[in-house]
Amino acid sequence: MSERARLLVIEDVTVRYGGLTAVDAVSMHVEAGRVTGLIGPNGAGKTSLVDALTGFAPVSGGRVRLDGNDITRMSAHQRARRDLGRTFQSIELFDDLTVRENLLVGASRARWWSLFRDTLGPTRELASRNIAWTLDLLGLADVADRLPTQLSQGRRKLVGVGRALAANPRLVLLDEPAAGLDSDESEVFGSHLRALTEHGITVLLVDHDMRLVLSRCDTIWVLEFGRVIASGTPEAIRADPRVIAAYLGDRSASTTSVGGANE
Amino acid sequence: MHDVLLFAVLGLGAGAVYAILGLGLVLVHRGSGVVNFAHAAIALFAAYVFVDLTDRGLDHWTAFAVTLVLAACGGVLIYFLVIRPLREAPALARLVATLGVLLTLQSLMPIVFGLDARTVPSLLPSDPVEVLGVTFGRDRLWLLGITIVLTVVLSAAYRFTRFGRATQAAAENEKGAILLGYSPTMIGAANWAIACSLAAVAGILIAPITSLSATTFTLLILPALAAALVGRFSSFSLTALTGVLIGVTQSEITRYQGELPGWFPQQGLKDALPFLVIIVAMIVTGKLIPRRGTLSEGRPPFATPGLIRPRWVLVGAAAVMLGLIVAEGSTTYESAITYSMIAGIVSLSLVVVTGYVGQISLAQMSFAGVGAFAVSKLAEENGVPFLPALALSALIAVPIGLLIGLPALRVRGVNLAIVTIGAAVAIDSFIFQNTDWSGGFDGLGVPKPTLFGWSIDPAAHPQRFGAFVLVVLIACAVMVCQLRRSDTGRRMLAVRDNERAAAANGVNVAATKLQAFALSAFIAALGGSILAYQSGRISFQRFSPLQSIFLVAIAYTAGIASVSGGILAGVLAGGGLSFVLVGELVLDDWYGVISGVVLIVVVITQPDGMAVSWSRLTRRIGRLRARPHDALTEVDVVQPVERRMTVAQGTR
Repeated sequence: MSERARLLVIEDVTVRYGGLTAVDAVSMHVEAGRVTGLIGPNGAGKTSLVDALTGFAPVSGGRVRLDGNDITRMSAHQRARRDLGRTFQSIELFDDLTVRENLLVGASRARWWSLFRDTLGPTRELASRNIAWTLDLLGLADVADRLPTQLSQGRRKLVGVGRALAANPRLVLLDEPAAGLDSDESEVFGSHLRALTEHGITVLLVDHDMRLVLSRCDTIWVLEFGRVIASGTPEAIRADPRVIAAYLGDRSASTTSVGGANE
Repeated sequence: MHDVLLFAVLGLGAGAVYAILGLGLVLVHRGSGVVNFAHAAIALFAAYVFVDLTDRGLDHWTAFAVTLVLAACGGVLIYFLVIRPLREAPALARLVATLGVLLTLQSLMPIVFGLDARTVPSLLPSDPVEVLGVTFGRDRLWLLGITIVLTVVLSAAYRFTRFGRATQAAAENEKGAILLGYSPTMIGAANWAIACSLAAVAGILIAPITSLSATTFTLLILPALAAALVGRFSSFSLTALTGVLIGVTQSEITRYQGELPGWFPQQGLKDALPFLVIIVAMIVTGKLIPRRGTLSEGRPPFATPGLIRPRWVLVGAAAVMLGLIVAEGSTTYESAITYSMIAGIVSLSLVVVTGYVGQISLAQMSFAGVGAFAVSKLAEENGVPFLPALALSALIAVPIGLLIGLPALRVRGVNLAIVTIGAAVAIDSFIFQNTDWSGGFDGLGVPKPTLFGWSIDPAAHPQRFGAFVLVVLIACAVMVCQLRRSDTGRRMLAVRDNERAAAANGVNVAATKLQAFALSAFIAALGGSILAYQSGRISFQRFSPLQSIFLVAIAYTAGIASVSGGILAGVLAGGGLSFVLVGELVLDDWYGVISGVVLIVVVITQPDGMAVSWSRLTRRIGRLRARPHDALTEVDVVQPVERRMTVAQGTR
């Protein structure tokens, strides 16, 4: 594996909810310009880790650095402004805003004068190139002026991804973006991931869909019971006996279409 | 020492009533997940019924029993007609519905029972008794005893009976309760019946001590809410204890306020105390009312895209000017048209804070009052000219808006409504009722306005003044429309829809809420200062907390998340155009009752408000006549159906 710049570095991060340790001193990193996968069985602490990285769960120990800057104590919106985007497992769109407006929320940055400008100044038409690119990439251009509640579950997922991408983040954490998509949709979605890295967006993909993760990721980290049990290329992960025991069960390691532990 | 004890005992009367009202609030919340702002009004209504029955010759105890039964029936009726249909509605809709009940009952009382003062027979023996060297009426001990017994009985009943456990189960998880075979409907109805009977008890017991007055009585809700809030809307004993303590402390304040330093605003302290209790409770316990596990959470009113249609602005403006010309000579109509526009401005402030950001504020008329107050101080006492006085008054309200917005960073929904109405009461009692500052009985004076050396005195030149207000209204409406279509507006709606997702997309949720409160206070105070100029003399009853409550109710009915709704709310507001028009047809007295009932019906049937429903209807008719070519039209018409579907899926 060639040496690349480490965009996100996680050092001994621990997340506790009451007496339960969801993430136990996890150290890992995400290299710039790549698609990194994070997999693990249910309850392994994947979403807790994503929440901790993006400021939605309290970090009780360890450090998170984004491009060398310590972001461990920053609030969620500050991290988002530091080019760290994320999606949610449960989608969580702004249901009263159109698809385009959902994306615009991600793309805009508040300034102290925004309120004065936006109430007193003339209306600006924000024709951000980024929005158009995102809508095109995800095939949402035809529904840009619809409300999310009018779309299918799969396309709602894509709006969630689009909203995170519209901010043109350097790193985007996708929390189970393919859950709820059928296998065709999932395939199409996987092909978008490459377009992201070509556009300069690094991806951390958290998903249950083993086929997607194994086929699209450059590097994979495996969590179990809040700890990292393996990391490496898809080939190495497929062959790793601990991963097979923990995650893939007794099935043959050579099968790439293992269903995993779907919810 | 003697005095301390005496005043403590005297305070037991009010304290017991706060406690009993608080118990009723807890019951209703447990049983149906609603914070009932009409609870004190129900108590007053029951007290009137009781007096009426005794006047008709029934003996006291029979009248008492009959009143309790009637109150229970009334509770069941309210539950089935108002609360149950809103089971899946957003919290604000349910809150507004109880405001509708409050408005209806409050306006019904003078019609049914007349305006004459009534003496209320006391059920409890009030002969003097001496304890520890202090002599007082025996009824205070009875009140305390009744409170304790009720609290113990309720606590035991809700812990040890099947019904009590079912209520608890439904409050925590409605779906689970259904699966266990309990009917949430029956549980809700039963709890409403018990709660309304308790309200009747409270009303009948307190009436001989205070007097039957709508204003004071309805605002008894505040100490009761404070008590229930400390009890987290679930603990009977904590609620009752807090209620009694508030009553006792208020009594001690009346005893000792003469000894407070002179600069201290003394009059307001007694009424502001419940507010202080609320704030402390908020800070100590954080998220106060536990979220109820209902079947599904309803969507807030639809926020229209905020497009400005120049044609309609021109038509509207022309209609207003035509109205002012036609109404020439009729002071009633001239001032009604102008007042409607002013109320429209204040309602637009609600569109920003409640419609766009989803923060329920019951303090908007207080902001308006602050504007009026400031105008008088600036213009009358310091000779500041018209336009600068307006601008400065509106700006002065901004820090107050920010201050009241601060709790919104920690609490939301109904909790915030309680905090803001507490703040409204505090502002009312500290500033507006303070005779040193607010001119006492005469009110504060305001000079006649002139614009660039041109008199726009509303008495002498009502059309000029009306035209000026129209310009301000249009400016505010355009501003709020612009806001809706801007980045800031999208961030506001993002916060309203989903705070988590907003933060994940770089939206500073706290800053966004505070901006909304600041802008909203500015607009409301602007409206209030114009109202001061219109009246020429400020009487602060127009800015009382009750007025804020009515304004929210009307704005919600009209469409709280759309600019057209805000303007419509102005037309509908009490004292406005429709008020006068309806007054021509039927008696003025009925206006409140009609608005209350309409409010409830609209909340249940038109969740997005009248203005939005109306524009959908006209567009649908337009679509039947011509083929659509506007994509947005399609979206808006499809909208309600789609939303029902997502509510039905109930996934969140």
